[in-house]
Amino acid sequence: MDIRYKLYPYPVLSSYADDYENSCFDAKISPKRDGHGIRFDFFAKLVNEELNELLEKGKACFVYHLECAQTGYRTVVATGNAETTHFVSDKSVRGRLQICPFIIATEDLPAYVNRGFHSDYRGFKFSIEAGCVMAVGSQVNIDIDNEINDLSNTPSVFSIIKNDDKAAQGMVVDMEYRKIVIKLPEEEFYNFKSIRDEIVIKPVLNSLVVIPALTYVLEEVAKRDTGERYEYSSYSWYRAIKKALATKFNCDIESEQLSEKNILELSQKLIDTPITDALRVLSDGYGNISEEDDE
Amino acid sequence: MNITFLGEDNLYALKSNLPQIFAKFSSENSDWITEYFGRSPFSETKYPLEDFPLDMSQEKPFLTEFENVQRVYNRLNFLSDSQASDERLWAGLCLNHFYNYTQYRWDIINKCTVDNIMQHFFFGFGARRSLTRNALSRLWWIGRLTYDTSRNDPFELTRFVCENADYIMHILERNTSNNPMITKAFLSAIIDARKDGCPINTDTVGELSKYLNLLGGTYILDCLPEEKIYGKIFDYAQTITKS
Repeated sequence: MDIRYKLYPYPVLSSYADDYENSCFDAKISPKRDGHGIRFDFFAKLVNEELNELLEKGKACFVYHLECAQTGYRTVVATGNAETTHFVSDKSVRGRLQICPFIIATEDLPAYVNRGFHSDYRGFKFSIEAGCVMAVGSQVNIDIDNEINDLSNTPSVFSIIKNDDKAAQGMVVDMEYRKIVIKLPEEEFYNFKSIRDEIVIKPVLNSLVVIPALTYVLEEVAKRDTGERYEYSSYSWYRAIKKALATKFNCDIESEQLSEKNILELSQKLIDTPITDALRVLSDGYGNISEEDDE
Repeated sequence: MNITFLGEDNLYALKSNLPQIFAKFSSENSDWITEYFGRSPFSETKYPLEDFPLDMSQEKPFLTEFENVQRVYNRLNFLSDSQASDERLWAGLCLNHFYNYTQYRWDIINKCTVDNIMQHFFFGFGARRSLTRNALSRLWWIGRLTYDTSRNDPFELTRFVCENADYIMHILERNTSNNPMITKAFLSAIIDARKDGCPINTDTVGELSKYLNLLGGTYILDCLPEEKIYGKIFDYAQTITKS
C-alpha cells in the first residue's frame, strides 16, 4: 500500500491536507535486525484532544499497515498504545516493506465532531464507520536484505557476463537488475573469464572493468533528482553503494552531496583505488610473475 | 534430487541476451542451456524434491491449471514466501525440470518471442505480477493465496479461481489478495452468491474486484472482520447481477 494524497468525504488528520487545525499525527518507525527477522519499534505522536479521547475509550486505534509487494506479505498491527513493537520474519519479506501509519475508527461513530476541524467543517457532524481512516501518518519504506534466508550468498554487486550481441563493442552496463550487470563482447568476456580467478590480476581487472562501470553508474544516479534516487533502492547494488558511501565517506547518496563529489575519484576510492596495484603488477611484468610462479 | 536454481549471474546472462538467443527456447529439450554456458548453470538447494510430472494432457493448456496447482503446491508448500518470490528458483525450475511444461503451457513453440519467454520462463513484470505470470511460480502462488485448511476441501477456492484465467488476474493480481483473510472473504462471497443464483462470469468478477478496491480506499480492509467484507461483496454481487 502506498499512501496517496486522496480526499475523504469527511475530515481526516494528515500532513498533506488542512482538514484539522493545531493538530498533528505521525509515527516514528525504527527497524532493528533481530536474528532471522526485523523488530520494528513504533512510536506514535498525536496532538488532538478528541482523537486521544477516542483512543483512550477504545473507539479508535493506531494501525500500522505493513506490506511487501514482492512476497505479498500484508498485515496490520493495531494497538491503542502510542508505543508498540512488531517482529517480521525474514521468511515473509524480501526487498521493500512499506509501512503506513493510520488512526482508524474501531466502532461506528454516527455523529463525529472535533474541535480541531478546519473552520470550514465547524458545526458539521460526520458519520464514520468502523474501519474507516481518521488520521494518516507518513509512509516509511524499509529495504530488507535478507541474505541469511537466501538460496545462495552472492556478495559482489557486479555481475560480469557475455554479450551475445555480435555487433556490440566495448562494455555495456545495465543498472536494472539486483546487481550491476557488465556485459562484455564474447572475446573480451572469455579473456576476462580466463584470468578473473587470479588474485594478482584482480586490481588490473577492477581498473579496466569495474571502475569505469561504477563511475558510469554513480554518474547516472547523480544525474537524477535527489528525490527520485530512492527509486533505485529495490536493487541490492544501490543499497550496498548507499551504505558504503554513508559509512566510509559520510556521503548521503540521496542528497546533493553526491552531485558535488568528484565521481571518478569516489568510484576509485570505493574499490580501494586499484590503479596503484594494477600498475605495479603490470610494471613488474605480470607474464614473468606467472612464469616464475609456475616454476 | 534436490531443488535446483539458476545462479544469479547466469540468470542475468540469459535475460540480458534474450534478444539474441530467444529462438533457442523452442528447442525440444533444455540441453542447449548447458552448451550455452559450457557447464551446468544450475546450483542445488538443500531442499529435496521428488521427481514429479505436471499434467500436459489437455489440448487447451489452461485446463490443466487446477490439477497442476495442486501438484506443485502440495509438494513445495514448505517454501517460505520470501523463497517463493525468488526469480532464480522459478527460472531454474522452468529451464530445468519443467522446461517442456513451460513450453506446453505458454505455447512457446508457436509463440517463441522475447516477451513470451521473458514473462513465463523468467520474471518479466514487476515483482508482484511476475509471481502469477512465470509458468511455475504461478502454480505455487495460486495455491498459496487460495489454499484454505478451514474448508472440507482446502482447494475449493483454488478450483474456483482456476475456472477462468481472468479470475486469476482480477483476484490474485490485486494487492488486496495479499491478505488471505480478504481473499477468502471475497472468494467465499462470490461462490455463495453463485450458489444463491447469481450468474457469475468474468465481467461480474471484474466488477466485484473493482468494488473491493473501492472499499479499500475507504476502509483499512485488513482491520475489518471477515464477515463484514463477505457481506459487502455478497450484497454487491446480488445488486449487480439481479438489477
